[in-house]
Amino acid sequence: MKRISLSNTGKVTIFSKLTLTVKVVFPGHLCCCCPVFHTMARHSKLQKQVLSLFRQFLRAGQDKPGFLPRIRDEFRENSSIKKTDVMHIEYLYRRGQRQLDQLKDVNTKQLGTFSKPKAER
Amino acid sequence: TGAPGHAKRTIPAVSQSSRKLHFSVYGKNNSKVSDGMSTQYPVVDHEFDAVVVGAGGAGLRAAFGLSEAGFNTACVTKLFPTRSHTVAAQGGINAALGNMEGDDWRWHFYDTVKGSDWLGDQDAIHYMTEQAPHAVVELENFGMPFSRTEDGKIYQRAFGGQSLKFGKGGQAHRCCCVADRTGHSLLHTLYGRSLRYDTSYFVEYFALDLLMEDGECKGVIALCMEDGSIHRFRSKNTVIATGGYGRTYFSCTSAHTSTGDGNAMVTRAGLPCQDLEFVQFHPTGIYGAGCLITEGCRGEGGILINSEGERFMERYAPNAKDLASRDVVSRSITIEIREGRGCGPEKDHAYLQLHHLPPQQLATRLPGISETAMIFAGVDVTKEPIPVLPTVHYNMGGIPTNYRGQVITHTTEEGDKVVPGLFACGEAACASVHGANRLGANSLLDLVVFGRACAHTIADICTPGEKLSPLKPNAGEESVANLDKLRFADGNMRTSEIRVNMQKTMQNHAAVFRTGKVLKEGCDKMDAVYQTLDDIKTFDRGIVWNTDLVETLELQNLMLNAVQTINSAEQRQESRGAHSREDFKDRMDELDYAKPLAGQVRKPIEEHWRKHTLSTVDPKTGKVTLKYRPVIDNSLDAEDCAAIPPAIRSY
Repeated sequence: MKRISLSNTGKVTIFSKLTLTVKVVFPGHLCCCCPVFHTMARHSKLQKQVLSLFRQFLRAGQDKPGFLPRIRDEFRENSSIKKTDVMHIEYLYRRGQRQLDQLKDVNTKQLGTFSKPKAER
Repeated sequence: TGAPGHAKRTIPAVSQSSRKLHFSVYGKNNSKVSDGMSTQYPVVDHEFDAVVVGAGGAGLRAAFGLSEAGFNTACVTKLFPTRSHTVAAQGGINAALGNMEGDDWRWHFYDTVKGSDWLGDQDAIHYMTEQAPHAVVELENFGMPFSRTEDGKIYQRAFGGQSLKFGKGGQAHRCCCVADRTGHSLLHTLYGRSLRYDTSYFVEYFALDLLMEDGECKGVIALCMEDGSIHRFRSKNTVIATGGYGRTYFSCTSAHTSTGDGNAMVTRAGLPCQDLEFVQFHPTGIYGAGCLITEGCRGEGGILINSEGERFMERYAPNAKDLASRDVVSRSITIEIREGRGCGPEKDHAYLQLHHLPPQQLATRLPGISETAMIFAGVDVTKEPIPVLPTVHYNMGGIPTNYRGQVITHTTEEGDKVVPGLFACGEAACASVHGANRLGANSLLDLVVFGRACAHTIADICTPGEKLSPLKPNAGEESVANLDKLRFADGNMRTSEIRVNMQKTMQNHAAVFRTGKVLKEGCDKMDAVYQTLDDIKTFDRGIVWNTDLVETLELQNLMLNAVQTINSAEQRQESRGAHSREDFKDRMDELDYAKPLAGQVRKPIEEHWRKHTLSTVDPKTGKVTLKYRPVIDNSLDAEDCAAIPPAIRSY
């Protein structure tokens, strides 16, 4: 069952297990530049596309080890990009679509990582 | 440990190694290493039946040949397929179709064996020349727009080193061409054809290394340049078709991307490379720019002249004149310049004259070079001659293979031994069809014939959908460690500085004419330049589209090729084909073929030079070790096509 709840810090819980940080303006929020109360703004088209991409990624990465944590990490890291920086978001979106096609491909099997502690360098 | 549920063929979850990097499935065991404290390289694993590295003429032909045979194929390439260097080839493809006069592939076989100065393996040459007409007809059926004669057959022009009746019947016209842009046309035709098959293309993925385990090749590891992720392509069959390494020299006709990546990958895997000292200097590269003016100009009637206006090739090759073999012409031009008959204010080049030919012929048959000469030399070919100089053009040497395209190693006790799972074709391979010198228009033929041969061999040996053998979970770790080291390199010398040092050393010490003392000096200088690689400095620390990093990786690959080339050249004490030594002017075979053979004693292989060089390098120190391997002197079918015994090579 879908549950949507809004908290002060802007976290939107869509499904019971997943948390996505999305820039949403809350009802009754006082905007700093003008003394007007905004009504709740819906997601922009771009935001909807990003969310849709995220869902597709999660579905595609279900059966292949290693992809889900990485998908979440990438989206979380990029959520801090400003809503107005459309060029950057669109670039990442296009790149994400190509990566999604590759993930869906039957020959892609798992995601690993080579990691190295920074202190050693 | 192990993956949840469905995946049956996955690599185990965690593996520690004694080195600095450790591999784990993303998300598992990551709690120990927090994000802020580590550099992470995500590695995507793919599984295919066959992987082809390189998407030039040979790579594309192998890739769609494999897809056609039903194999699940991946093609990993650092360039978009139509940007590979094959596109720059101008001349044509040799095939004994017999459209201009009666022809026989056995005469083509003879010409190629003679052109290779009897260093070519005659079984591979037999295979290639016999398949040639079939390969050209196949290309024509794919839609390649060959130039045509009046009656609609494929136009064949004269080309260097081609003769009729085993050298006794005059000049042969057997080079099928598409005006003067045959390579462009070939590559676009092959690319168009390849789209019909379901090969997976991984474009702008830089192949780093082979995944070798127990002497068997189990795949390739590559860097995705677009997003900086690492990809491991596991497969039972890997085909290397990465091209040559012209960029080790300061002046060459090759693209900036010709960096010998395949040769270097094989060297780092501990396997030998063959005959790297044989570097072809094309006689007519534009003076200054280095751009290529095809041999087809001379085939259409162009002549080379010196400062006195003399057609000097008549003295050096009385029969073939300007259409002698390329190494003969390059040496002739260099001698003319050295003896003071060079053209221009500094008397350091020769002229290629075309203005005596009818302008319509120039416009129909040679439009591309007319434009090239105008852009790069400022010359109108209908009025003035083009200034030309011998320029590095092709590498006869490469990864040793048998005539079926399988990569081989060699030991004295066991002879040739196939490396399982590894194949090579194209300029990167050394089959060896070109031996010590390549005839013009044989390279494009080599690409399509051996590209197809690799696909056929794989189809014979394997079936699609076979289970893959297990691979270590941290396979490819050294490559990623090297990548990480270069990405954060903070020495004193820039990549471009080291590269220029290497190129100038090669140009000055291993040119058309080579001397022992100069080569030795070159080996020492090259060793010093190799050591400066430890002191390299890169500037871009990012991972997305890091061209600084990619150029540095290419420089590492070039260096491995350069040290092998110059050390092999220094050791080979004879003159054969493109390798000519001033201090050892003659060819040293097992018998002296200049004198009557009766009564001569055959020399053992240690005492003569009609053998292939096999070179290996220790990547950490740059030290080159050389071994030798005998030439294959028998053709595939002695009754159908007799092998050619060695003789003196003159044109």
